[in-house]
Amino acid sequence: MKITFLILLALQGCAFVHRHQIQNVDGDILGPGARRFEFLLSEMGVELAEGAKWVSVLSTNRNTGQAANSVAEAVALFQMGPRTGNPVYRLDFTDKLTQELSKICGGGRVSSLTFLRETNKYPVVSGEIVKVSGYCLAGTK
Amino acid sequence: MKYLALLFLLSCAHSYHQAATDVSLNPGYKSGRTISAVGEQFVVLGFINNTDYVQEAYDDLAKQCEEGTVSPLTTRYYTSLSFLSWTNYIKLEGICVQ
Repeated sequence: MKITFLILLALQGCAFVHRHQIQNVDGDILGPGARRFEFLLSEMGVELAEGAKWVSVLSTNRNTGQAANSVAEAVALFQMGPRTGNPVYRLDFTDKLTQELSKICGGGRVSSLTFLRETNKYPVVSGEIVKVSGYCLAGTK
Repeated sequence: MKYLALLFLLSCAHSYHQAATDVSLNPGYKSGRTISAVGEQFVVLGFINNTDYVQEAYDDLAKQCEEGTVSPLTTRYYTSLSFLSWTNYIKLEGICVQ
């Protein structure tokens, strides 16, 4: 029964969009010289309090359950602040964003640049994603 | 040891809110240099310390490229989560083309 429950838990996953931004759209993106690009920057997010709660729910030992609840409460105190998705432990996953963007069209024009900040949520962990897409246009008009 | 590991996990968490870029690339960017500025705002239990941190970061970046153009300009907004407090950061990074 527990194994079935764990499998069901592992299979569930949801995607959340937090923010979306699109810049100027040039009519030339429909022309033959336009080339679409897309890249993802991502990092694993971890929700420790959720993990502790699952331990508490799944535990048959009452002491373990109580300890897990205490951990969840400690996490709430030590990780206070506004959140978008789950907390991450590395921030450098977007460090190359500026360099990537400056290289992407070889110095040419960029149009319809789109930023999507989203979370792919699974039990306890998540993928914290910045997705960048747009069009490279021929010429430097 | 396991408590130290837990403390580490608790104390180094960040929430990544947003990344955005203004791109008006010009062919001269290859000769540019990368510049950056960071603004921060410390908050204790919702009491805010510095409300000008974005303007300060902007001014700092502008000073680093007084004679040129910054493009692309990337803005990153994130929060470092702490014990009963947190710090909001705004990080501006761009390529200064003279």
